[in-house]
Amino acid sequence: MPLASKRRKKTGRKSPTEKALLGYMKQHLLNDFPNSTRIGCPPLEALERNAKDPIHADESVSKHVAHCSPCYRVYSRLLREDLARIRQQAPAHDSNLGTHKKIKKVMK
Amino acid sequence: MDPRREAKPSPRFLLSSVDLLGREIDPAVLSVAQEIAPRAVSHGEKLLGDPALAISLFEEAAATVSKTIKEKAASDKPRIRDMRGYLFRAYLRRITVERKASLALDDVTEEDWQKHARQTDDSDIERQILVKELLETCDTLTREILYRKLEGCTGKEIEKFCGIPVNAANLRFSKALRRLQGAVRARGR
Repeated sequence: MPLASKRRKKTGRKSPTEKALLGYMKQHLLNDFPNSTRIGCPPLEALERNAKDPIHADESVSKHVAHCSPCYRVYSRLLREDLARIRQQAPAHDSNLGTHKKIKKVMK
Repeated sequence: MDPRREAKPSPRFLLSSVDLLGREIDPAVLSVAQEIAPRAVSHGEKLLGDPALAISLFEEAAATVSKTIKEKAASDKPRIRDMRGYLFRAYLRRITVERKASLALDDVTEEDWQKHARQTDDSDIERQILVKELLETCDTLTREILYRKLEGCTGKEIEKFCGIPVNAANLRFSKALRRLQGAVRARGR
């Protein structure tokens, strides 16, 4: 059997439900919590800390982001920047891993 | 019998003493779980089609049984006689819940969400409450996972960001989705 047909293709496509729900949530977080006077907003450093280290994220900051559209926009931008950085680093590393696995399979 | 072909004992199944939700598994339950794990998990794998999820749910079931034992001891209720059977039944029930939930989630179509969105267009407050409910009731890590999913992160990327396994992240995410789905359905009635 050829190697390619053994593996199931992972398209990474989300189901319509999940996609719709995520879009729905994002719209609300972006628009439904206006806080023009920025009452109770944490400093940018706090948002950056949460974006960098989600395991030890500050709960109050994390909750605030859920209730404040301006903070959510900032946080969303920080996450996108981190994501872009990870994606830039990832391809070379991952493709090497894939090649190693393929070689091992073929050698078996 | 050829001595070279003597059957080797199967490797011991290594289960974690803490489930993915952070609940501890009682040592007595853990030892029983280790005994039945090979057969139970392979059965679960057949039903779920995902070995990682099968193990996670088995650990969850063991943690739930541990909690039940503690509660029974505290309230002087009769002890569990057949721990193996009890744990296996708890595992089967957990699998059934997981399968029903995934089927229900698949059943909801795009139209359902749009229908709900149309219904609540008049009421911004209601929409805010739904999102608030979800984000307030989940723990910090789940919330952070949700924020990353909203930015289009894949499971592997979340693993890199948060340092938790893909399966654990997906489990937390799907539970949060299910809760929101339940809220949407309840309010849509």
